[in-house]
Amino acid sequence: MRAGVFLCECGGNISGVLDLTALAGVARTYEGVVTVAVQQFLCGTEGRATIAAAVEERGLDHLVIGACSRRFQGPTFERLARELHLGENAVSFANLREGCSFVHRDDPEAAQAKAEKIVGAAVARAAFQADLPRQRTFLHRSALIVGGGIAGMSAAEELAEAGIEVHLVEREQSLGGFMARLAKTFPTEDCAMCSLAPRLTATATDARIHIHTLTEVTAISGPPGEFRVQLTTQPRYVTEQCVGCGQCAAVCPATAPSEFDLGMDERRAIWRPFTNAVPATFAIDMSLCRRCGACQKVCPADAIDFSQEEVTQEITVGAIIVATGHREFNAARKIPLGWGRFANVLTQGQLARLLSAAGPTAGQLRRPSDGAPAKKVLMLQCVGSRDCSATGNEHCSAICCLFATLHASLIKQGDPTAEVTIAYTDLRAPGKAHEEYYRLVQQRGVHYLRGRTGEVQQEADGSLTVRLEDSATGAKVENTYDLVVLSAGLEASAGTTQIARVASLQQDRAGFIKEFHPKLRPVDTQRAGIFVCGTAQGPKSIPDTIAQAKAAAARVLALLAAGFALTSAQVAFSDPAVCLGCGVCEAVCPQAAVHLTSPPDAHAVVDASVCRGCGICAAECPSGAIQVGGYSDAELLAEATV
Amino acid sequence: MAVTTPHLPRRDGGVLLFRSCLVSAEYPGIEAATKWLFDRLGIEYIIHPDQSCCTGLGYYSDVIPFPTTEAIAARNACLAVECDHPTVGYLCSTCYAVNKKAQHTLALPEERAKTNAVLARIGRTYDDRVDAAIRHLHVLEIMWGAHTSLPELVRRRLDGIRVATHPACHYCKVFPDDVTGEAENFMLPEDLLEPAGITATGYYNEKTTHCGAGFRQRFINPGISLAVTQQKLRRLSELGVDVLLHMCPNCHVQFDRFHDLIAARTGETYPFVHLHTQQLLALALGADPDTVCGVATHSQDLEPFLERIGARPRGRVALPVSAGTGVHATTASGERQEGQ
Repeated sequence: MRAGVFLCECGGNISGVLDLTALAGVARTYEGVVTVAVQQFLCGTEGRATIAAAVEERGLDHLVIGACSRRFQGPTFERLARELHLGENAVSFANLREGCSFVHRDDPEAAQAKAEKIVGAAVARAAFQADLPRQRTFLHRSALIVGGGIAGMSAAEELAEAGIEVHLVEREQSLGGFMARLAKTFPTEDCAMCSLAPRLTATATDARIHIHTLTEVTAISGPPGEFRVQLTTQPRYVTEQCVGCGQCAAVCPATAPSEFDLGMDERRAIWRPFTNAVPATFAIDMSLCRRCGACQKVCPADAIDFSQEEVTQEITVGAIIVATGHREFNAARKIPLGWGRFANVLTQGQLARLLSAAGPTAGQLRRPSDGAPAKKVLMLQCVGSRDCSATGNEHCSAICCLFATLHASLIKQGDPTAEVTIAYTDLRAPGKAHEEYYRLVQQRGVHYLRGRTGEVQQEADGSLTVRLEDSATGAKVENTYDLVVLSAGLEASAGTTQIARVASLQQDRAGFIKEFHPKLRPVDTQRAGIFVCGTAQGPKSIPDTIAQAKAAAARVLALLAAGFALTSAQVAFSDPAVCLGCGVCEAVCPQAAVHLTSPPDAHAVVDASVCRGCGICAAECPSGAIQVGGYSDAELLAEATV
Repeated sequence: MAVTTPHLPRRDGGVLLFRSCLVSAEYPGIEAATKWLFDRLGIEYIIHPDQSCCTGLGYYSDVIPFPTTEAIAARNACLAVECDHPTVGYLCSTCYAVNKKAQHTLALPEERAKTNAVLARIGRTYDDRVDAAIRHLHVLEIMWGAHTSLPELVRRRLDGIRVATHPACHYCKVFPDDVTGEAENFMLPEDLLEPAGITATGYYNEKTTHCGAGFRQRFINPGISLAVTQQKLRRLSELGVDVLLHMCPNCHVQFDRFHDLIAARTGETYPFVHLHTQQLLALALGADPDTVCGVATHSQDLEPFLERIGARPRGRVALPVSAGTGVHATTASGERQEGQ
């Protein structure tokens, strides 16, 4: 072996704790090391040039990179090794940053000793690193998008425009997501449906976009480029002959609170959430339907079909985008705030329905308890957000300050005599034109008060008494309001949790999908070929959601444009000469990537395009026939026994 | 109303019943009722003769510095572990919070070293062994562990009696994450009484508002102190409750001693009584109101209520006039007022 050890200062992140000159001196003494170099930024142009020159001049066959974690910059150096024709397994990583300098800042002496061991182990392992084969796999030029809100539709449009077949899956009966419920959007106060309706129409009419509503993804298997996806579609009980006239709903006797209106209105058992719904077809909620047949009698298109059943189908797609959105925090968990107990305590989502011209009150703001005009409104911020108690969430929901500001502004414009107060924790208005909008709304007469309350109390007439401390002045304020609106934060939606389970995606503490790297790969997930965007990834505004959706679409295009993909080098492989044919590996593989050939010469074969390199088979293999590329017994033992 | 308090493991023994200054001085019936209930529920416990006051009253009135409080808490914890009764059951939420807070501060090496330097003089050490063994619980939590035994022990049904809970701040708000149930809607007292047939109130306006006592505030700011108490009394009157359940003797003092006084001053009526949860539970299980529940030390007239639940014969005049006719309150300035 002729190895070069390259140590990175990482702009002081590593060299601030470790003495790299001394470390280089020690590294020179390790067997097989022919050159050692220290660089300020090994991942930069100069670093790459240093490595390339050393390979050329000293005839190196292995690189030992003493820098950050393999997870962070591994692909950078692996690509460089490939470019320098060193093969697929020529780089050994010594994690001197996350594994040493970051965690041992307080004890540089011990850190130095540990760093010597880390580099020594990486050199020892390099001696056993042999080149690994990679295979080309075929890619389907199609994508699955899970979630038909503004994120999913934006990504779908982008991909369809680039010629990719898109399957757009939505668990509700119409596309539109949370945005379809909004009255207007900040900071421009333009009508939400005016932005959304063209997207809905474009999605519905694009021949490359296949819409699957009332549908969930129930299984995903196979490798990136060739995902096999199982879709389960609930029956609609109304055929595509439906003309959307609505005569059926007019005669339907069964009612329930409308999910679309967040309980602010009723719906029938046969219903369509909103006028511009896509598809425009009605659907029957069978848990509510009394099977009276009234709808069948009045339907002019003969579209009611009670015989429909659940349908399961399998499709194959090259890539997947998760755009499953969010849900409002369940404000009933904050019992003292009265939501669910008092009629006049609403969430911002519910208020959006009342302020919407297409909503149940045609945009008139009335108290749900008695229909009287709401003249005095209090908005409480950070409900379930920035709340470390057992009933709240730690994260900031990012949009509520502006969401409340928008609604306060709409109320003031609808009725200049209305009094609107926003009780906030910290007013957060980053984002383009948001601070300016906040100032404008203050000028419109909306009162901002810095304080949180412990309790909302209901009086006999349905009005609500709230005590607050104005923490900016120290004054104690007690007032009675017509409406109290809770800015309930954003949480991971049920669809997000479901797809995370089905696709084995990691979730963060709040349940949102975890991105591969928060800065460098913000729309990639831990699973190759699956991307994430919108509020499924975390709370964000509509412009940020659309930007991220288009970024996810770009990532899909980058994957699919090549027409083929290479399998990972870090996959399992079996030596048929050693394999006993016991089949343990086949039984334990979570990806079904291993199978046994037929007797008499039964032995394990690994499909490299499916294997994710988890190593369970290698650990279970009784004969040592299965090894994982880059993690062979020889490599690991050499590393561990330095 | 469905029972919502989460299940707790049953503790049959190893309980040190931590005595409370306020309970002993003001309402000894709370302690007596607790012991009576522990016996009925088969919970083995001891009272340690060497246990000292938690210092809470002095600490919260700024006359005892925290290092003293911390050292005394460490000593009491050592006592509990030494006698193999490491589960400390508190009658008073302030004792609970003070001792639990001390356990948190004693996890800091410098605090522990400072405290152990003092403890060394009495030959004791608060070490990891003590810290790992000690467990601070309100006595209601210990009883809740045995709540499945309650239905068969009920001797006096409380059907039609509407009860509400006054959640003690030092139990619910100092360590909200440790509360058995919801810190913002504490239901354990009502859930404990559910087998007796009570009507639970659940959440109500002002439920999380404190009692108004505020330790020295009762004496130095009596106007504000009693205004808070009054607010809560008003809200509970709107609901038509019969009993407000307490879990802290300081709250109990504030409400019981000042209930009739506030009513007399404002001309308002608040037609309900104050009892500790253990007292009402003991009554439901058939305990004697005087010898077990110590109702004679209450300022409010409890006789009509006791008659209503069958704990007194109907129409009986139970006690001497001074205790039976109600107002027997200490005013904000500390004056004793008799028979208004």
